[in-house]
Amino acid sequence: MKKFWKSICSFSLMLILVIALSACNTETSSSNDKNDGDGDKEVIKIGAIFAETGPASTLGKTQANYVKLIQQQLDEEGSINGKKIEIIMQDYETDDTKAVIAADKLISEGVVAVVGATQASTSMAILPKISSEGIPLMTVAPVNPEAKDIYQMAPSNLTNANLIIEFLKENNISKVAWINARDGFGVEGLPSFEKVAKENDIKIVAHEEFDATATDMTVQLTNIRKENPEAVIVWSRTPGAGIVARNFKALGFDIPMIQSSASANKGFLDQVKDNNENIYVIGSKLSVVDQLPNGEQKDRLEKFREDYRAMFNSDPDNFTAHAADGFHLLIEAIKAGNTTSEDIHNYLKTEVNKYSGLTGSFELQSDYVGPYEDGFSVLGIENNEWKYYE
Amino acid sequence: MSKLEKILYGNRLKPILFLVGLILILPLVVKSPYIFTILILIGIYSIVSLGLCLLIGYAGQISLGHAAFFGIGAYTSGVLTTSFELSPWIALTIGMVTTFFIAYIIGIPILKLKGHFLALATLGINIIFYILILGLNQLTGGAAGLIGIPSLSLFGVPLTDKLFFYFFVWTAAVLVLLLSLNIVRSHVGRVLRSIHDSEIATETLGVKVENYKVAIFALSAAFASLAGSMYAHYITFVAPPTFYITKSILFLIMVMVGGASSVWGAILGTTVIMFLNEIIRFVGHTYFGISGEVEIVVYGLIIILIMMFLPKGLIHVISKPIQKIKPKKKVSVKAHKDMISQKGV
Repeated sequence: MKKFWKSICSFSLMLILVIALSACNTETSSSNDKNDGDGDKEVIKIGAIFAETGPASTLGKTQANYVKLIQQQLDEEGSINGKKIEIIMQDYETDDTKAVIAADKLISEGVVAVVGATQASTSMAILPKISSEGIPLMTVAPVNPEAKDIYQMAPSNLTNANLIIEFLKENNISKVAWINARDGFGVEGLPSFEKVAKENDIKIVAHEEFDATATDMTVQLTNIRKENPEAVIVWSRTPGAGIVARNFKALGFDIPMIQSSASANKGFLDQVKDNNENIYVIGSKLSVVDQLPNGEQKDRLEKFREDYRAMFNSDPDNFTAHAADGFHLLIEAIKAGNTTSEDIHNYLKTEVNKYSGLTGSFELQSDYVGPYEDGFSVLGIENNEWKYYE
Repeated sequence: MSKLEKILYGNRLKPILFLVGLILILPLVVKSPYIFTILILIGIYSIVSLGLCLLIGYAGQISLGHAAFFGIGAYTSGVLTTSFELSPWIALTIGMVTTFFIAYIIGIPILKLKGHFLALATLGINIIFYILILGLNQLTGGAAGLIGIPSLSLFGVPLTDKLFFYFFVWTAAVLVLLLSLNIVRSHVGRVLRSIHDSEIATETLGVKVENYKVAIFALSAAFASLAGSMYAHYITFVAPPTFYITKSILFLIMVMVGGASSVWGAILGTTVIMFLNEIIRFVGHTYFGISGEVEIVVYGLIIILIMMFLPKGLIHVISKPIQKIKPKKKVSVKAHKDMISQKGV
């Protein structure tokens, strides 16, 4: 019996090695085709690196879904200038090392551009590999402002901070407390906010941090309460963002809590169910499309939402929209006849003067990072739905 | 003596030549940067696995904290090269030496513990290190990670080229392998195996067990640090999640799947686990349209099956048929058994 199982295991191992070799050959031939320049002529490949699984899947899942939607739309549209666009999706499982492997895999496949990664730190991890090959990277997370060769589709921390300041000034708030998650996104927010807060005479009276995987933040909120702030600002993605909001209500705070754009998704709404008074989130106008005044922006967002709903029976969020903006910009560049990475870079830098994206308008040739504030707003919550304040 | 060694430990020249041959031939077949990255990562992780193999398979001491030592190497290289503009080679050396002494000092109290308690203590080291790199954000970049780590260059040749880095990593891995094989075959190796079987019995022979345990713990940590530095200079970016407990568990799985009682098993286990991950992803996506969690489930299931039916690791499956093919030595069964008993296995 023992011998039988050992033979089974040996056979399985052999099978695995054979598949490994065939996988190696597939990669090699794909790479060779690229070098020869004739095998891939009819197909233009775009890479996508999203956290479809792992802790960041709360943001990355809908982005991975969108790849299926846009691929279907491209297939229905047929070829563009005689060329077919193929999107190659890689799930990096919220692991930076896997993201780097995925980046190399996409380079091997001969992609002309990459959209991703879901998280800021992961985007920085894949950037050296992608940029050394001269491939444009459309990042869907707010990255380090000093990063070069990157097109940021998410609003920068500075944009987010400006929106908060506007809200604080409207509500005559001048004393705030700050709490952030101890992860790539969480720690990057405060320096930008401090800068604009100082310019607008808004005082940060307390600063607390929590572990990104923590399940209770009452200690940090209790420390914040001692300083008597007039509002609490939270910089974290879900689920941490939702937990801190629930703790906030449980401790009986009656001041506003303003959360970053990383909380503007369905997961957050579900977390703060019945505990959502005085909770505000910087959200994409996509979340409140039905409440928007009629116009071109509303039509654009409505079409995007309906297309997504039809395929997945759920709503997209602003993270989906970031990915969509990245893909749309690339497709536009390809439609304009740019089929190499270098040409796409040139097109994005020189031809895209003012692009109206789903998350706001972009000016890629300027130093401005990410979309302008016109696609976002501070949203409230009413009957477990996002509430738009014009 | 050499004949006795051959009978006791087998021929080491042939497998080494096979490995070196394979390392040299692979770049002729593989052209894809993706496969190169996997091969480079296998080389890097193999260095950690070899150290862990000496510690777990030979000395019988468990460690669930090697990602911390891997991280110390990576962050020492990263911080010294980015903040202090030191040469990557000096940073790498400082990392190894520092890790050796840190592990030595930590090892003195924690290696007094046994079994589950030792595993928990090493787990604690990993958690402490993780919190430190998150907290010391002025130095380490905190949760946002450390960017701009320079690549290595050797004699003026930049190792940014994957082919050069591949040869560099595998040269280091082969050197670590040779060192490990020498340790295993020396009297130190025999003492380690003896400690593995019975610490009390070894101590009654007048051997200072503590010294050996601490020394091998520190050495395996230094190996992990070397691998960590290479990782940092290859990826050019490090962030705390890479050095979390899950990485320590991955290292442990690599050693256990390959076979903890053999240094060759460490390399085999690392290779199989790395390719397994990619193959499941490749097969799942291409033929079954599955991804994400399903991949993780399949990956876990395969590991469970290996651990259930091959507790001695995959190396046992491979080495047994090879031994059968070999012509029988002219040694009587009794003499062979006597010699085997000297190995302490």
